[in-house]
Amino acid sequence: MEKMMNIQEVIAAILGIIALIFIVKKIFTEFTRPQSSSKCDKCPVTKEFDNKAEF
Amino acid sequence: MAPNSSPKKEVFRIALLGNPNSGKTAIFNLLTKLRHKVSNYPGVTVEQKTGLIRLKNGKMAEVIDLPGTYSLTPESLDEKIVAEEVTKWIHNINKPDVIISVVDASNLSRNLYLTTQLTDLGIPVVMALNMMDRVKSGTIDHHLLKEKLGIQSVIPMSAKQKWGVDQLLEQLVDVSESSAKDQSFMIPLNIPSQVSEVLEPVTDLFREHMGYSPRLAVAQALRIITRKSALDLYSNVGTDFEGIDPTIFEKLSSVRENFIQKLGILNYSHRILEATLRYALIDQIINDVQADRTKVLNEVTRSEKLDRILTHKWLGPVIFISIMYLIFQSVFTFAAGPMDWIDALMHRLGETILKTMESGMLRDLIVDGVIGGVGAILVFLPQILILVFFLTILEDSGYMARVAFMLDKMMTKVGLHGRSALPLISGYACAIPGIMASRTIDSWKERLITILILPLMSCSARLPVYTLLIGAFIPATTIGGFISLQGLVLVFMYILGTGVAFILGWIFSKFIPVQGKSSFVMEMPPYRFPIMGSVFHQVFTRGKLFIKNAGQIILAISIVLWFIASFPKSPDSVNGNRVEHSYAGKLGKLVEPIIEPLGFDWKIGIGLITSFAAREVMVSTLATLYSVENEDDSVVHLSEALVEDTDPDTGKPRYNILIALSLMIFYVFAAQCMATFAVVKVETNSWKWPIFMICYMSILAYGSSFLVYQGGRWLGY
Repeated sequence: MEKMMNIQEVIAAILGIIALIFIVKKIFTEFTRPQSSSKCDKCPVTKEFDNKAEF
Repeated sequence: MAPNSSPKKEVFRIALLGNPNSGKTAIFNLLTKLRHKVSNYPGVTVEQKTGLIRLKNGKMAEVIDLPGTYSLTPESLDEKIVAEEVTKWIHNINKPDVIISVVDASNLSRNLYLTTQLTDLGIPVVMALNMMDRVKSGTIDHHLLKEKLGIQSVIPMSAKQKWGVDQLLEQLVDVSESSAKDQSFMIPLNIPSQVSEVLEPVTDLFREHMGYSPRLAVAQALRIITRKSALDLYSNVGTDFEGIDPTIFEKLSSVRENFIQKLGILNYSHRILEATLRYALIDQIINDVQADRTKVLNEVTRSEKLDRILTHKWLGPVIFISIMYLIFQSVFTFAAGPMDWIDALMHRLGETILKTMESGMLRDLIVDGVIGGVGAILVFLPQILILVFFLTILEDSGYMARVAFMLDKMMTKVGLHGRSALPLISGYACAIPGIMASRTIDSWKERLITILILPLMSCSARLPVYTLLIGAFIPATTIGGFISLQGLVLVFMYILGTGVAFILGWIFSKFIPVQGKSSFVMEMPPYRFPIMGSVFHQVFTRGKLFIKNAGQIILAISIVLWFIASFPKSPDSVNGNRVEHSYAGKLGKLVEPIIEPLGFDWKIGIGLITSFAAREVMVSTLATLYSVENEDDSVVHLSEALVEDTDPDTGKPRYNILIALSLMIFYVFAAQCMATFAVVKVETNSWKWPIFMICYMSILAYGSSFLVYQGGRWLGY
């Protein structure tokens, strides 16, 4: 029983660490995602936002 | 600068181009077997999409679906995407082997404008004459149309009824095997000789310095003269094409100015010159190929009859609000059964684990953290699916385009215009696609204001919070015997967000400097019976996203929250409120003084912090906290736990209807979804606007909740 509880604690701790890493990584990737072009996710932003041109 | 020779390609490239709402994406999906979103309003595709197919001759082909555009002269951002891509093709960069020009057969005249522009590019063009199911047979002579346009072929088809696709694929095989890739235009544009003479310096520049064919040189000259935005494409169009030699660009600018002046002397307007010439040609073609132009208008006439009621000055808004009320009411009614099933399933799962697993930390984590947290969110899946189902039906039927039309006048008054309506409406499902859809707005100012107010439209992630609180604290009674109070409160939350969004749009328009005012011309699509496959696909996609969120970020937050709510283990003396003494409790207590004037306690405080990951996390957070707090070996019902929670000092209920209203109103306005702010940062190319958004939304949420809670208390609630 004692041993069983220890195993449970170890697994729970591992899950906790994985979850924490996942959250940190998720926040990091959300806000450091490369500025992508509206054409596709892989293309860098060019001047597409410079919408001040005279028409 | 002569065009480079094309790089050696192994994959056959097919580009799909056409007017908005002509069915490009439906054809793209049929060709590639992919499932991109299609709908019945212009501007669904705002980015380039690609898919791979194997042609019948074994060749691999890449199909590129570009946003819909009326012409190759760019006005809005999505049109600019197309114009930039075409400019690269002209310079042999990523040049497709064939263009499929998707044409709405029921609106041939307007659709042919783009097709005639495409034929100038020197790339084989195959016309997909789509929506033939809406045209009486025999009214369009597609053989003659092919001849008149001088294109590879014209394939009559219906993407909706899924016929004609095989013929289109066969034609693509023919083009892929043909060595003669160029084509000749049978009828040239009839340019008056005086105009032709003054146009010469511009066409000469294109021919001599860029190696354009005479026909392409004339077409490009007309385009840059119509709009300066077309000329600007030559300065820089991105990673692959760095633009032309600056000295030639300067020369082009200079001859453009001269040409405009000379045209003025000849009494021609440069802005409509190309349109005048092309429509003269198109009229000539249509007179020959279309037997009776009135016959194709039957469906349009039916739609117009319906519009007299649905877009009526007074009846229209009443019908819209009634429809929205019915939708939100049905969210409650239809979802009740499936929600109970999921709830029962989660409880059974929890109880099974409690019975079969040894007691211990892992068991508590699974039952209280994972099942308690994630299960509490999954219960709301049926409501999300029902809401998305009805919203998609409204979009696909063409009704949402009418809503945009009705809102146009109001939008203009608040500094926006009707084109903002569709992105704002799509914000009801999720702000992120709404922000992406704002690319159809040509004015940067109007686009920015739309992006700034878009998160105020109540998205589906708020739905679990609203319905949890409404279900727990708003009485399930009716007004006048048939209007449900709960449904009414839910509609009110949506109306509140929308109304305040418009007011703020008006305020922002006073402070954000004007950088070009755009005009709103929107094609009104005819009413159609929705393509149910597409509707269910949208519902499935949204459901998948919701479950994915629950299985990833919400699961991770629930696990971490369980730990910080369970540790440090409280001594026996404080066992009754052990979460309060945990790390989570301390965190909640830290923010409690700030949110106390809103009626919120430390538990809600924790939820407000975790909700920054996603709004619905509030529900899983409260569920986890109550599960950890529950000392019995049983699974907690969140709604009941909220109602039964009492303040240990006063013995009174901790939450009541006033706090529930204050919290719901906080959620209408609060800045809580980090994915939205990340997208705003990318779309505005700056940190300034997402930070501004977080600040104004937080102040608005706090102020509104403060007024509701303190006002309610002052009134004696």
